[in-house]
Amino acid sequence: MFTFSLIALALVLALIILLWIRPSKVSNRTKWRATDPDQSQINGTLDTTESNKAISSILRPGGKPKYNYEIGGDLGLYTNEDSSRQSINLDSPTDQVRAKFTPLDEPDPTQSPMAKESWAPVTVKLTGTTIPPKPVQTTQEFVPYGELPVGYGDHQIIALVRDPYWLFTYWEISSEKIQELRRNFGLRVWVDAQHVLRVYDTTDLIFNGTNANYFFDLLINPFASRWHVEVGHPNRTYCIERGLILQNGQYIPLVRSNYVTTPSDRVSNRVDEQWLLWSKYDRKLYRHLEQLPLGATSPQFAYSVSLAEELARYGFGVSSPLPHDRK
Amino acid sequence: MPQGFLTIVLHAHLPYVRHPEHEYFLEEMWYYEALTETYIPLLEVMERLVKEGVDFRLTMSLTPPLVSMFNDALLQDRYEKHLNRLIELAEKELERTQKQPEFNRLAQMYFDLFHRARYMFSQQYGGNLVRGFKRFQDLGKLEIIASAATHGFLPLLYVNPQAVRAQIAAGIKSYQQNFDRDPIGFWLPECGYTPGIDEILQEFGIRYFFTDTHGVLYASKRPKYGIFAPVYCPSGVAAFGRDAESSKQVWSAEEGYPGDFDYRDFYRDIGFDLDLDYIRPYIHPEEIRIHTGLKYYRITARTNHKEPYVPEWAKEKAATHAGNFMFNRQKQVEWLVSLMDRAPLIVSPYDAELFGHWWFEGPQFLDYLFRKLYFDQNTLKTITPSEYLTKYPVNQVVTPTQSSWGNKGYNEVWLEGSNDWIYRHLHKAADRMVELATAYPQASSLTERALQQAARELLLAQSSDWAFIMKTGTAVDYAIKRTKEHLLNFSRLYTEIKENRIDAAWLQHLEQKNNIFPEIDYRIYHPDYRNVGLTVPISATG
Repeated sequence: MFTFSLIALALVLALIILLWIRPSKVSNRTKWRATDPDQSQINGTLDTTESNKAISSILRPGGKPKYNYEIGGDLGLYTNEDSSRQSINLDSPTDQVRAKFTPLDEPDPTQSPMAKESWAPVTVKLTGTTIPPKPVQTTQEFVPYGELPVGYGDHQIIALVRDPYWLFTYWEISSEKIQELRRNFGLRVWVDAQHVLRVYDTTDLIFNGTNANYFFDLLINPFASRWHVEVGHPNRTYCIERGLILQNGQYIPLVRSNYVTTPSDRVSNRVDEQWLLWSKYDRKLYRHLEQLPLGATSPQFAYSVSLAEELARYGFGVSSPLPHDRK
Repeated sequence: MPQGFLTIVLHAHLPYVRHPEHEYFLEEMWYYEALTETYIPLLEVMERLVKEGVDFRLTMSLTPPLVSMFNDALLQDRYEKHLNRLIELAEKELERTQKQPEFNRLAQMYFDLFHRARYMFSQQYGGNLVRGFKRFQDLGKLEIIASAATHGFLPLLYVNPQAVRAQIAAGIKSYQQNFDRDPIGFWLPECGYTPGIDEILQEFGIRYFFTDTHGVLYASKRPKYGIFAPVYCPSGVAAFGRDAESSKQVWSAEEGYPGDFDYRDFYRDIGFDLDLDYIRPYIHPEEIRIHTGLKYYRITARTNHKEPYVPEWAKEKAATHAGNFMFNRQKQVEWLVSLMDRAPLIVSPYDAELFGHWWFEGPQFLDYLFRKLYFDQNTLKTITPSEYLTKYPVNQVVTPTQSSWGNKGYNEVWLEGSNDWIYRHLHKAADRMVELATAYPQASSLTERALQQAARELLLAQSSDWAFIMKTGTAVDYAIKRTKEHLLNFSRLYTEIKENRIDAAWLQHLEQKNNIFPEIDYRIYHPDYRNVGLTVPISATG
């Protein structure tokens, strides 16, 4: 009986595994392998169902990934930072793919372009194996969870405010735009140009592309698709352009963001005449309010009787870890 | 006539953690714990105050996910079973601790507490706590305010204002259905405000919301009364700024009242302390140890050494702390009155779960505080924001600054290395939802159902809880899974609707699994939503 159940179990398992590994569509599957900085071989499969799409999976022996693997073609970007399986856009099936390894303990790889990372060539052999399509799924189990796409084929950049001094931006460059760049500036334009974010201060003006109060460029990783940008000034309006600087110094804008305004970090200088009375009373009130350290420790005020004193009055032993008894 | 006023606001929220697909689900326990430790005890406090003739005013936001879980038959049934298991455990504990009087009396305390919770839940409120909260609102003691549909962090969704509008509209609709009236106030999730959100609130007839201290304090122009009176946004909606001092006095785990050594320790729980064989039936079926709610120790010291909990000491301390809180508010009001030409208002908002769940004695503290305020003094009086606005309808017009009550006061908690990747997908899904609503303004049957479900999935993906959990690092896998799950469900629905090949079986599965907002109307995503026949009219004054 026991043996029988074992066999049955093995059969069910085998079936599950078989179903699991069967690909869902007609595919051109291309195996690749690379060596990561720990000298571990990682393997993957590029699954080019359509000419410009690819899905890749990464397997690293020994379980959990130790790195962010970015497998990039000269156009596309594959990253497993959120997962182990995502789709990438490739211009066409290619054998020129590189892999980047960023240690996972790097807290925010987008913040510092010089993060500990290394590139290694990936050998890709195009085999073009065609695998027959899988029959339509009829299961009632509904476990469809794949992975979110890296992008949506859009051509846009979005800016968000993080705080009075920082913005965040994410973007996506369409393959049409890159084709156009290649037609105009040569096939190697993407590889040879410097990749930048141009940040414009457009406070109090209608921006026409050239009349910004000032701008600055941030050099970025060509494969990045999001970035935290330090602007350093509250109450200012900004927009961000993703662009290229060609070898001859020419700046090529690719796409421009929405406008965002950083919040204030202090009490306003603007006083309301209708609600004025900027009297000694108001000044006193504000002196009091301006002592408030936001997000810091509890403020102490002249009129606050400390809890320790209160407790002493009620005859309790003061065991309370309040700031008052550290005075 | 009091010299000043105090508004206590409790923000009650939990993410939607209903998991019908599993008999036992770890994250569902968050909800059960909150019921036993916070929501039922708060209702108990209000019941007692009303019964004993103590007049009080409390303001509470009950978010739509929480209210939906209150209303859900499956969760009601499961909670009752959960309580029965706890009662059984407490019975066993009474037996086990027979020879240890210092623990036996605590086992008895929990036994009584769980019994009372079961009585209140099943008998008094018929399994649905909405009835309890509604009762106190109808009595005029409690002002319940609306909140966004799924606690979306609105400043980071505002790149598509229609997404913010839908969060607000669905939240208001849920409120109307549950409380049989239009909401006057609105809780912006995480106090997340950016100029323009007030205009959307105004469209739906909302009269006030809250910001953190600096939201009002750093407004332009400078508010004459600082945070001690509300201001009007240019849209005419009032903003009430949080009083930093009273918040800190309670909030801070380090320095606030809840850290007192006599109070019950949160972390020592028999779920972790007792033999696995003994505790097995009351923890996770896979033998993952969890909090059972039976905790026998007091904080004792800043070390790991813990002494048994003494309820009488803790009760005394709660009374003392309530007295201290009141005393400091009185002094604050007396000082402010010398500077202001009207009665100052102190606004003290807290997370409801602080009271009971994190700070076991929190509900007792509130009970004492309301009694002391009512019986012992005349300097200040509790008030609801709408009552204050009726008293003082003329207020300064300023533009509050973008702000939140998260760490550092702006958006960083929900927009940093661990969670910034979600916005690309959340924004895209919102754009696609607007695209769908525009393309199918009058859908019917299967397409309509798919569109409703798409709106639900989008709203669920937008919960600020997921980004917050990713940042705090406590249940990260779950938060990532939920974000992806709802986004992928949305994408698939989007494709199926566009390609006119809706998988009816799968849709039905989603409708049962993610069943929040049964009455949702996806047309709220239509840019001209007022003219496409929303099924429930929304009280718009704009």
